Amino acid sequence: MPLLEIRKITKDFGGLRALDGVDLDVHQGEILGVIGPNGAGKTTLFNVISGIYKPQSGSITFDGEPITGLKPHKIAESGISRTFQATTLFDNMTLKENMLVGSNLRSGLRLWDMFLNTPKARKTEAELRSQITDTLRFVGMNDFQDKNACDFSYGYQRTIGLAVALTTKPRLLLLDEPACALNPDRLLEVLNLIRRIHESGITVVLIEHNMRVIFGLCHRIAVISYGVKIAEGTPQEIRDNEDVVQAYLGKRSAP
Amino acid sequence: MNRGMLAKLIGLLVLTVVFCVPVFTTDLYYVHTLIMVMYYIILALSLRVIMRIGDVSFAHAAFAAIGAYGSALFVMKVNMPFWAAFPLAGVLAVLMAIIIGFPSLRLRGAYFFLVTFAFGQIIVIVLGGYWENVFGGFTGLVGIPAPEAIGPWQFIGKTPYYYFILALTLITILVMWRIDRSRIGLILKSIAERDVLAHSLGINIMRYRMLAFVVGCFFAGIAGSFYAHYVHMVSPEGFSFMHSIQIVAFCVVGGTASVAGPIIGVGSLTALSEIVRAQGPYEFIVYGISLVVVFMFLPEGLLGLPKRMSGVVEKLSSLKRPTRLSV
Repeated sequence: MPLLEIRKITKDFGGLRALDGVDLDVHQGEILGVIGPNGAGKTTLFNVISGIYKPQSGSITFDGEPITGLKPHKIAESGISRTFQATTLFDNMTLKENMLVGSNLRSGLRLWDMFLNTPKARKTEAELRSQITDTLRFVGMNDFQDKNACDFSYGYQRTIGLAVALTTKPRLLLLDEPACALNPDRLLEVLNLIRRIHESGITVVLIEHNMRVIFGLCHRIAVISYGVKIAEGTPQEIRDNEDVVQAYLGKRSAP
Repeated sequence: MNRGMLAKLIGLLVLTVVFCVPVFTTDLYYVHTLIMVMYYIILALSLRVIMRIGDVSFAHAAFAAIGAYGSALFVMKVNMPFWAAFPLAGVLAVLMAIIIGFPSLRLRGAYFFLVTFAFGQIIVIVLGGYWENVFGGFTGLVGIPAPEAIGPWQFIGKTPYYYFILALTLITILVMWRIDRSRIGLILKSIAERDVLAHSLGINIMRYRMLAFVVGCFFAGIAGSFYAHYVHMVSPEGFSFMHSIQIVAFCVVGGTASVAGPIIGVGSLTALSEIVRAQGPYEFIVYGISLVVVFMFLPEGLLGLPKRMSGVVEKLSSLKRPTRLSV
């Protein structure tokens, strides 16, 4: 059974049909790439999955459980986490605080514990801090816990966005253009990071325009154009698919 | 001695002075002013926790009205002892906050302002214009009795009220400070900073918005209850939109970054309005002008002043040195 089953998802914005009956499966343990021209509906699809938009029709099932139309915090609770296209962080909070907010979901802390600073709260907070240190070491940023998020360079902010998404301990991670506007060094680091995330057991779906990232990382690729899925398959199948080449990849020049 | 210890020492000193005022002053005007200052501090601090989620409520004076009228009516019409009516007034404010909160807290920015403004006006209009046999119309309720004595302490004169409001203020400061320091404060800050991200990280933003709103309105309610049984009368014009703006001004002028902000805001604006009042009835102009000045020059409020000052000092000192080309 696929980890994530998307069936006939349709999303309208007034008169504009952004997604038209999209079907997609995501299998446990794979890295699935989602590509397509700008405005195709890729981010809209992510927004529907993560609960920011409610679809007009269709259904989404995660690990057998229906999650269509649930609020974002419920989706996060069920094990799906995501990053955003524009770097979305808590700008005026420190790196540590950014991570602490994300860690809240799995902390098991109740409001009462938080307010009164009960022994349980103090113990949990200490555990969370050490987990945060571990995660930051995993991404190589542990030395900067007290720096404000907005003071990091763009490249590092993307990595932080990834780290923050990981604090919710997702089983499925949706990455929206993780390689966007990164210089080659940072790009390589992010690529390796995604590989390591995948190796730790997390299923990854990523939207990308950078074809080297897509063909370098993904087991399977889905192509979306004008709200419709026009192809799905292995990287080789996608490369050879005429519709995809016409819609997006561009004609191959002489080999 | 580090900054933390110094702050605590200053705090303790201020506390001791404040505690002893009624003992040393026979001038009731000063005692009354301090009582009102503390009343406003509670209102400002309770508004601040609502502002922590990123939006400003312009209905805060109305929630004080709910507490004031509620408490007065519980005591006068239902013969409840004050000490039961007092917390119940807070509960009443909480119920109204939940009713008003559900539709409004989904909204942000200007829309939240409009809805809270509308609710605030509705409450005041209802209190002034409907069920006059209950609410007393525009003249409101008079002859609201004092709280019953606690043991040997009777509520005659100003001193017992002074210590009562002092205790309330300290409790409010403690609660707000504790919220700030805890994970709750962190989550509220994150919702104000970027609510979509917080939502996607598993935070139930509606629940936390409601929590902040309810806590803020509770303290406004009990402050209102105190007010009613201190001045012994309440009328709708004592809780008008102008008063809501006044409370907003306390928070904005003082700054909302920490619990100290509203306290500084109340202190400075009250002092300023006292000076202006000597010249004439220009009190509310003070609040209006200070709001505008702060928006333009000091958006973090007076709390941001040290940062600004050090920035200005840096600029001035760099003017003296000739600019060096960086190599």
